[in-house]
Amino acid sequence: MKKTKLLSLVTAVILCGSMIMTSCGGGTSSSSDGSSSSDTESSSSSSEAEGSSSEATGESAYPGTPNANEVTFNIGAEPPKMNSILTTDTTSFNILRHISEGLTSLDKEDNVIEGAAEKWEISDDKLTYTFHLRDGLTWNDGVPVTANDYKFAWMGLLNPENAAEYNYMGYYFENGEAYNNGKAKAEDVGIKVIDDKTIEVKLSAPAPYFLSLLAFGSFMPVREDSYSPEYATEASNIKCNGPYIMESWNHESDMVLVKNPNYWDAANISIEKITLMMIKDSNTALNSFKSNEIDIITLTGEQPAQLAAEGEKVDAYSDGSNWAFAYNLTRDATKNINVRKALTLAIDRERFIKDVLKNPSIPAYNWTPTTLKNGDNYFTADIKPTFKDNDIEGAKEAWAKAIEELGSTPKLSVLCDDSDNAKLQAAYYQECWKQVGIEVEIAAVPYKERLARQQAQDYDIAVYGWGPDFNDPLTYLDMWHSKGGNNIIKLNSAEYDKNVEAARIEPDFEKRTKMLQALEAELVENYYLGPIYNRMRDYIVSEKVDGFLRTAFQDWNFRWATATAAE
Amino acid sequence: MLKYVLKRILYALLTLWLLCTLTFFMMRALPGGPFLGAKAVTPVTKAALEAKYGLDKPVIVQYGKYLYNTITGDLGISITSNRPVTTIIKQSFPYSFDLGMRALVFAVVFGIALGTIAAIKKGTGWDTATMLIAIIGVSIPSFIVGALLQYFLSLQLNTFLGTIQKGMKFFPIQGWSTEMHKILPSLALGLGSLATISRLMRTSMIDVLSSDYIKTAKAKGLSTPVVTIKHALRNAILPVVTVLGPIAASLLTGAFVVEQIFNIPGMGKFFVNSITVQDYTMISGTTIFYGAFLVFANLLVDLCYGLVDPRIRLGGVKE
Repeated sequence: MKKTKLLSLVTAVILCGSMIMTSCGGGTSSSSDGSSSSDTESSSSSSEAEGSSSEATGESAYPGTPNANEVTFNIGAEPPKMNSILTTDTTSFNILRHISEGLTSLDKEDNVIEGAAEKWEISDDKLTYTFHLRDGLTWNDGVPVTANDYKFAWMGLLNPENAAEYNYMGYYFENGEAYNNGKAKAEDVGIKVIDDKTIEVKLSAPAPYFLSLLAFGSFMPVREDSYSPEYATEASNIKCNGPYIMESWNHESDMVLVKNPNYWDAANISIEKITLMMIKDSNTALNSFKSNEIDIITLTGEQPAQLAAEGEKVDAYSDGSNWAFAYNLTRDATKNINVRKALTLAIDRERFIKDVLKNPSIPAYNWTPTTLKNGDNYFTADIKPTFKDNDIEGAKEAWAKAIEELGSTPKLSVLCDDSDNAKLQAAYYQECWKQVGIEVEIAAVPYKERLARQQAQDYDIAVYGWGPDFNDPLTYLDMWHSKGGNNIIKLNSAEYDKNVEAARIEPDFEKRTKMLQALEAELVENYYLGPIYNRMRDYIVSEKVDGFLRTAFQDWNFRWATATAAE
Repeated sequence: MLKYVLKRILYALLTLWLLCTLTFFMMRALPGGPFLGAKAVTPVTKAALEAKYGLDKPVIVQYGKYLYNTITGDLGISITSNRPVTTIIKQSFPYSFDLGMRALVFAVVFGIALGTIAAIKKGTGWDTATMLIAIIGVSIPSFIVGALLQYFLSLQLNTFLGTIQKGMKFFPIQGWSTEMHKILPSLALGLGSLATISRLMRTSMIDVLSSDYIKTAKAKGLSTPVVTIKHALRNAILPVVTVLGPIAASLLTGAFVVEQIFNIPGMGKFFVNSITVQDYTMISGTTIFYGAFLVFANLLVDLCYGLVDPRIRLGGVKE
């Protein structure tokens, strides 16, 4: 009897202990954002905002991995496809930035700089670009890089047989869309190789951000003689022309990049070897960092606060994404502007960021995030917020009006992912709404089901994230065109469509800016979307690494980084 | 015997066919589909993608082609990674197999030993201690055991060793390259099964030890070790052999969480992640592979009974 008692006591103690361990993050963990990371799928071109980009200065107490000029970084997942023609995910694009180089490239502030092209000419109508490649460029096997390598890759995006998901990136080229849809021949596409070192491009409409676009992963060169359906599925069948070469790829475990001695700017590349780890479990990543097996990890959940409490310096950068409530405009309740207004005003963004996200994310009052530039200026810098944060009175008033107009109290539900973090965030929103008397149910569903329901307008309110394709407000604004494939709220406004169509082809900067501002204003003033926050992400860097860059359009870049031997 | 084996193989094939068919239709019933991403593709692109993976044909044609390809060993190309499913399985399964076998050996050897000790020393501190391990093993899931082992035996121990001599390490946090990498994951994965085996072993051993023939052996003056090992163990081990099939199968295929915690590039994550992203070819490929593996493991165990216990005649009683 005594023994049984003792046994149960000890067991109880151990079980309690293990429960505490797991609640401290001992179990499996997922990303800290509201949905899976694949939600904001791409990022490209040029800019930075105050406090949005970040260059690590390595003030951590952890010395890091032992060797000088070598770094180990956790990318958290296997890059699904390294074939630049077919890929769509951020992890693959981040690696492509290191092992290949487009005609243009980005500097530390996301501004366009010369890449493989040393100069270019732009015609007066801004429709024809002529690029000149540098002398002596070679692939990692010594074969010269030619203009045709770029043409082949861009035509590959558009070739209907490839079924490339990012084919629309090629629609900037004259007849690109028609060729992709089988309505024009390959020869008609506005990409012309003049000679081995010169390529001429004709655009279908002027795009002020075209040069920055060319630095994006989808526009990386691919060599025709090395291409096959299996291209870039292993380290042995990918060709590199960037600052680094893929030396090995141990699927689902790690990848090693080594410095490319043939790269034209190799003299200015300091890090010799980058080991990319694919550790999914954030707790394992943190343990590896603390054990000096890894130099840099991205932090999630409670980790930044824990490390800060230990006196560590945690860095943060803006990933360029924005999170907002998308209101289904085909549903009776959310069709009502006062319903949307009440839902938007009731949220306390400051407290949400402080208590739930627990990082330096920025409260959002616009759909376009603060990190996007229009020309040389930040697009939203001049736009005054049209509503107040945590406006309980305003929300109550709007809700009362809404009930009166609808004739009854509408039943609402909010659609989100079924991850722990997404549910936690939804519970916070639910609580905010409750304060003004709005009852909202939470519909937490698996990722793909959420996407399917958004596409089918089978929701009232969706927690919706969007990442930029290029550094121009249009990447956030033209998606709500009535014919846009991502227009999940089914906005159908003639005025909006007119402005989108005009902005797409307007060559004059001032006029175009006015159109973009009108688009932004229409979205926010009508509460078609309820902006919540511009996401910031936390990460930590070991003592030995300096100059590691993270910006909205370069999720991570080792080009300017240095690493000493760990002390 | 031959008739029995043939019958079992036939049942195994029937099971696999059912599995293939159910998987095929169930994954197509999931909302979304493989080409639904956060950024929508145009209808033309979607059609092109469906044509590329043969999803544009009538379902019954797809099903026929899928069955034919499966029988001929072609599991298709993974939609997410663009690599052949068989290549992915060939690359990742050896890791899972290695981990599973280590965990199995650990569980069987220590499970049987602990169970036997507990039975012989019934009612003593040995018994209590052994059963405590068993209860802990059964009640705490492997992901907590893994996290605890990683935290204490790897991170804390390494930090401690680092204060003695810089850079000194014992167990690495994650990875699967050296023998030292493989110890903690194997322990984490095997502990649950060790508990099951030791409890079974204890019960069965106590049962056998009180039977008449053991008393006879003892009366003959044989020593306890001889009686236990030579006479009792062989009979007491039978229930353990029975559960060995399912245990081996679960260790070899159910290591997803342990693989994730210790960053082992095994097959577990494909099995789970392919469903999240609805990679049809990968879902069916891993399911069929695991299915075939389980069916085969069970068949093997059934045939093994006859070897361990001559009283069991698989073909039935001969006239």
